[in-house]
Amino acid sequence: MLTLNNEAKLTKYVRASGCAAKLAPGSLGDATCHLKSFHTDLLVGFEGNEDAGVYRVNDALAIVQTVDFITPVVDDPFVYGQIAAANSLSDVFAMGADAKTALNVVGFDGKHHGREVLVEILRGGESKAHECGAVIVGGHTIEALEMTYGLSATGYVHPAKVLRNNTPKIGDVVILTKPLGMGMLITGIKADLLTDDTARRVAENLRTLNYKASLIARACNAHACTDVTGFGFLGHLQEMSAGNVTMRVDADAVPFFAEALEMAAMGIIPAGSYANRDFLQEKVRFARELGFEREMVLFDAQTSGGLLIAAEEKDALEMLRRCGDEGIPAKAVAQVVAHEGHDIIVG
Amino acid sequence: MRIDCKDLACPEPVLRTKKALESLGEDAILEVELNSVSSVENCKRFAMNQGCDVRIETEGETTLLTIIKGYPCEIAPQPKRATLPKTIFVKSDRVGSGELGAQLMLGFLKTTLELDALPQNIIFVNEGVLLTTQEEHRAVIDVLKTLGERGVAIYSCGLCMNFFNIPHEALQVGQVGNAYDTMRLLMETDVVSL
Repeated sequence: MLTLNNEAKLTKYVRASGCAAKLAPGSLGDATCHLKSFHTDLLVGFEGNEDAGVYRVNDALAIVQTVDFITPVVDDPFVYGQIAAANSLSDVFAMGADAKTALNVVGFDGKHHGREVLVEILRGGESKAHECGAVIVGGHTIEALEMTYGLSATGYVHPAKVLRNNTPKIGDVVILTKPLGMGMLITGIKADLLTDDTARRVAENLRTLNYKASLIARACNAHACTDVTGFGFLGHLQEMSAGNVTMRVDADAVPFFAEALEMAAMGIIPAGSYANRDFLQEKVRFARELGFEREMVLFDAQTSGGLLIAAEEKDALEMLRRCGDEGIPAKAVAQVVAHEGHDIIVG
Repeated sequence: MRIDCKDLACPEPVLRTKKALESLGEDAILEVELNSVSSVENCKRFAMNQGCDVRIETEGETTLLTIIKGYPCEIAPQPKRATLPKTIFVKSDRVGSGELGAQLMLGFLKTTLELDALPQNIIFVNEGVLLTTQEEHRAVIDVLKTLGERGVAIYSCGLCMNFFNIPHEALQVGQVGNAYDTMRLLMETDVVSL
């Protein structure tokens, strides 16, 4: 059983925790739309809000590159390192690639934390790289006012087997491989409102790699795949729809931590989750009343969330079976239908 | 009281609102200055969740949340019903003889639960202690437990339990009584024998 060493109080020295600190979806698009990167071998660039860039090296190999770093989401340095690394590596897995190398990206708050904290964070990151067969080859550390850590990771994928985030087919079933509520619960950890047991279960969920889920997606003919992070379940599902199809969500099937509802009722909701709701207002229709708390869980900004994978129904069922064998709590959460006016309909 | 929670990220505004509310007495008014949509929404949720009234005014960049601290949101514990200075004295496991007697005992005790005013004490002596110790009297024990929760003191005669070879640990409800307490209660309160 995971035990958390909360002595370093990492989350108490940052303004916002995890992906909740991410720039809002609208403002990010406004900034990156000015960047133009074209190259004949650039298979995936800025367009489509992909999880990572993909560059073709030759006809048999493409490299997937991504960088992600987050402020502390738990108070334990080693576990924070593991979670930040799992969160970074997830972008590689969401593209259907294997992680190969990674660089540490560190902003170290030396004013509040000793060197031993930095060592623990890096050890945590290394343990996760090791778990999926990647190697950390170096990194860069600066002194910063707020602690940040993550990886710039590189993965390998066959150029024809890249899993895009916006290519589901009508009739597909979408599965989600981790429960939601992490944004609210991380904020709850920062506010010292969670029991030790809940904090442990949250940390365990956060540090779980999406590596095995990615292998299962590849083996089961996934049509589209992305990971659920700062834009929340509905935000990333909307990216998957890309305005081409409608995602019919079965709200009762969407897995989440029950404790998140308590946080929502108390107003422990990160600003990023509200930003996601505002951004998606026109794109999502709620076919029935879910109540404020459950709606906010669907919009909640996730850190190190699970994969959303779209595949034909029979393949989706096979994925659920294999996930079950691997102890991954995946659930079928949505169906892809022809566009019905809204990108997402929650029923 | 007025607190400035501008430029703070979640959960800080909620935590400061919580702390300030806790420091104030009933019917106090707390004003919270905020300048982000999410913190306004969160602090409003929190205050409403605590059973407070909330008013929101926006002036330029700043939103002022006026929180009126009313009653706490927890459901008030059931008010204890008044107890009368009476003692019910139970000398047998039944009221009158036979099967009917056993039914009457359960029936009377159960009906006591519905009275507006409960007796202060119930004392079990002689075969009465069977009612508070034996599993076959589970229905009576449950009624007595409810009475106990409502403030009725329940005593079972220790000497009598010894006489029937009932260990004191077998007592399911209330406490073991002694001769001194029994006599004192019988003298000081109105006594009703069952």
